[in-house]
Amino acid sequence: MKFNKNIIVFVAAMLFILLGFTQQYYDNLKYTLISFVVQNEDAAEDFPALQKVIDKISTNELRYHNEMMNLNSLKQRLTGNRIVVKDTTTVVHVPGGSLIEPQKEKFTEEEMARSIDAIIQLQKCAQDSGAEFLYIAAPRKSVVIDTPEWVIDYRKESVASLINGLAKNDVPMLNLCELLEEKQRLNLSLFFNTDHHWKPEVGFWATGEICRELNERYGFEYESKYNEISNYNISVHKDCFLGSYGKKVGLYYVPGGADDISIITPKFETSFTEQRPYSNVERSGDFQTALLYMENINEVDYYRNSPYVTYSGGDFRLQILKNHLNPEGKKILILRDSFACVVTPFLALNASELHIADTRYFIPSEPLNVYDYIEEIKPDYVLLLYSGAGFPPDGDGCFNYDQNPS
Amino acid sequence: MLFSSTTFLYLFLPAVLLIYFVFLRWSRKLQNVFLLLASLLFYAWGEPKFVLIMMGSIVLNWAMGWLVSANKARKRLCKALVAIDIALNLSLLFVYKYLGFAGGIIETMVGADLGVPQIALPIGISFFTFQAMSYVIDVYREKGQLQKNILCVGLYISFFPQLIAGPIVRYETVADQIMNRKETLDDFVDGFARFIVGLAKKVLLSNSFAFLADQAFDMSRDGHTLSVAFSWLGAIAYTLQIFFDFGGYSDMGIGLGRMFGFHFLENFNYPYISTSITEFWRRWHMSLGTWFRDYVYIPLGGSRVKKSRMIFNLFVVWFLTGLWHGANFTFILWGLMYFVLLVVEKLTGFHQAKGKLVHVCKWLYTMLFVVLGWVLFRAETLGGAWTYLKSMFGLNGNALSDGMFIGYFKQSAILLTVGIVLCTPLFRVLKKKTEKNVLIDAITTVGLIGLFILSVASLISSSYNPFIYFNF
Repeated sequence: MKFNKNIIVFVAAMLFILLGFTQQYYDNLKYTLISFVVQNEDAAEDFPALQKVIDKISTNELRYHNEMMNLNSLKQRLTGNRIVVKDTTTVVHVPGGSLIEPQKEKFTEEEMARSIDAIIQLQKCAQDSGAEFLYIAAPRKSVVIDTPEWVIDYRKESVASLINGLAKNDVPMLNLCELLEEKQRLNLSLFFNTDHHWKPEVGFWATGEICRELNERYGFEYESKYNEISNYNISVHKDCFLGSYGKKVGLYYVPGGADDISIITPKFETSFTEQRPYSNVERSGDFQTALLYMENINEVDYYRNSPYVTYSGGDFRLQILKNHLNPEGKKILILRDSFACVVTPFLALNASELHIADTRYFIPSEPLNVYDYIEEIKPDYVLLLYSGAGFPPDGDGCFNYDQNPS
Repeated sequence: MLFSSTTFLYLFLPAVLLIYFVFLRWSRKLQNVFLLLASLLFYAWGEPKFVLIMMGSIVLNWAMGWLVSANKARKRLCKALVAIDIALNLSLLFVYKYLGFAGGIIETMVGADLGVPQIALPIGISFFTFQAMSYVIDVYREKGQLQKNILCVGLYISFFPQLIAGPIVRYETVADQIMNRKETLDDFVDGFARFIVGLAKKVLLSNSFAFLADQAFDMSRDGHTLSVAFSWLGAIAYTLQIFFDFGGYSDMGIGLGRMFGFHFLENFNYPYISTSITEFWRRWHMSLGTWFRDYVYIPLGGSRVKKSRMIFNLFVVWFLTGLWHGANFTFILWGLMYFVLLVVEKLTGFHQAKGKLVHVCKWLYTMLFVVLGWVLFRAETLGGAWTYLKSMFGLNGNALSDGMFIGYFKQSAILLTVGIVLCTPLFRVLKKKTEKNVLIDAITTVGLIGLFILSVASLISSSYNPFIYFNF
């Protein structure tokens, strides 16, 4: 009987499949199935959710998940593919080796007007409460480059629309894009290749500009030495950060692979307490101990860790930073998106209290009515730092400041 | 559940193979029951509530098969029972697939909102309904034995390899295999190899073409003006997408069936090398074509009637073929386009002309209409199709080419080349010529393993993985 070579194919494929299983896979699957059977009253209704969990386990818990992501990224690169869709995110590899996410749909005039109006209302609330207000426009990648002709991207247009709308309504604004352009520094090197965020060095620079702007507008007093990079230690961690886009497309999709990331820490004495009221977390110590989350950089795991959130820990509904070495300083409330992660630790050096609120991703168990909160804490300054035009009309919640569950 | 999913590859398939071949190998009956249960689970994974409809269809058609068989001697009663069975099956199809569409037409005609419910479409209903009717009809025609055991009928109708995307398995072709099939090692491993080929076609090729096609068609739908070149690129991408998706699923279904000892008929035979529409439909979705031929065209009289009657018969078949694909005027028009072309070919016979240059011209004519037909098929509305078609011929005031075309062409050139080459029987020819070559065997083996791993990598990366059979 002639030997059938496809026996080798079958055996190899089955071995490959078997190798994929891990204890974690088995445990998660078992736990999921038992929970479903024991805890679900309406199995038919909850079955789609069970399916999703099992599908996710079957993908994410495989032993070689990362290796397969990397292999696929290499395949995409070798076949010349410059655009990848994963889940609902479209990632484009632009000339220069960076990844961007285009905004595929235009915002309507009504949606734009609603966002502008929300910012104006916030300004009014701040001012009624005795606080000074400043909108800070952080740059996004799509805004600093000309996206390739074959990419539809409305981000530049949306950002311009928002900025113009705010300017027309005399909203106090610091346009960091404009500032960078004046200094001829507006380019992709400000950002990570594999992530949508700007680099910590840029966040550090932006903090200095925010202090300067507040000083020029409102007489905000600050220590200029806190904004001089020479007063900081910079430790560069190489090839350790696969950003949000990189995690979707894989490690080898762009020629440079993972990004480097700098951890900037003061050379001078610091003392802070960080509180997260909704999570009952409180940490105290120096800058690194209280404001940084070093566990995100100490272990390199491209697909699970995000070294970017070494700064600030991530996005939280409310985070309060108290600077014990500046008790007479100002109280600042900053509403933000994740670009503020690399701003707020440095901004806190020039404040007595920095209240950081992320109003996006509404979580019913974490309500925060910003208007009430402003009334409660009576900040000296209310800042709104957003990276341009990321505000879907159906309520990502970016500009919903009165998130109370009904 | 989809074949192209990690849940299928890592959980469902290994578990089914293990239980079927190891724990139940001593009992064919138990194996069949197990396959039926596995198939119901497979279907329920995607359609937990609609699995009851499929079970209802199994019960109905098993009962009708019994009645037909029991009344074999009474021809008129038999015919009536078959007619009732067909009516009931088509009613099921009508309610779930066409009610909303028909209601919409009536509402437009009378100018009133009749409150016709929009019912969700159970995936695969067109496939399993046609298979179910095939069972009763073949029992009536005595081309297949009555299955006294309802579980065997259930297995035939719901067998997971061909449940949601075909091929449509005619009962007479598998009747004997339900109880009397023989699983062999060669069938098992060759079936698995076929499955890998199908998986690679779907995941590595079709999904990539799908993305490109979706860009073009979505942009056109959203009001962007496409250049002539980009609109052709999108149309060609869809032409390749649907072939590798459908063909890939058929390969997977045929391969999986073979692993369990079932031999399904082929569904695609390099349709894009056809040099006439007649030939195209003998190579494309053959299971559907033969189903309509044997159950509709021939009973109506086929070609052995007056010309006018033949044309009418063709009209019925192609109207139904279009309608079968989806509840939309685009599908009906697509079907009727083929009706017109087939009638022209039948009446003129030009498709039988010979000569090298003639051959090329015939191929160009065939592919032109196939591609244009796919535009109609893909578009969401007749208006959308018309807009897209106009773009293809520069009738929208659009440019010949633009950055969009250049950008997408550059990044898809390699895959387009691979795709076009694989539409030809080049590999089949090479395989025949190198049959006893050890080196080629080794390369093929490594290649198949590599394709499997690459396909899994693509699935794990959760890359673009559209499911296009939601209309069926």
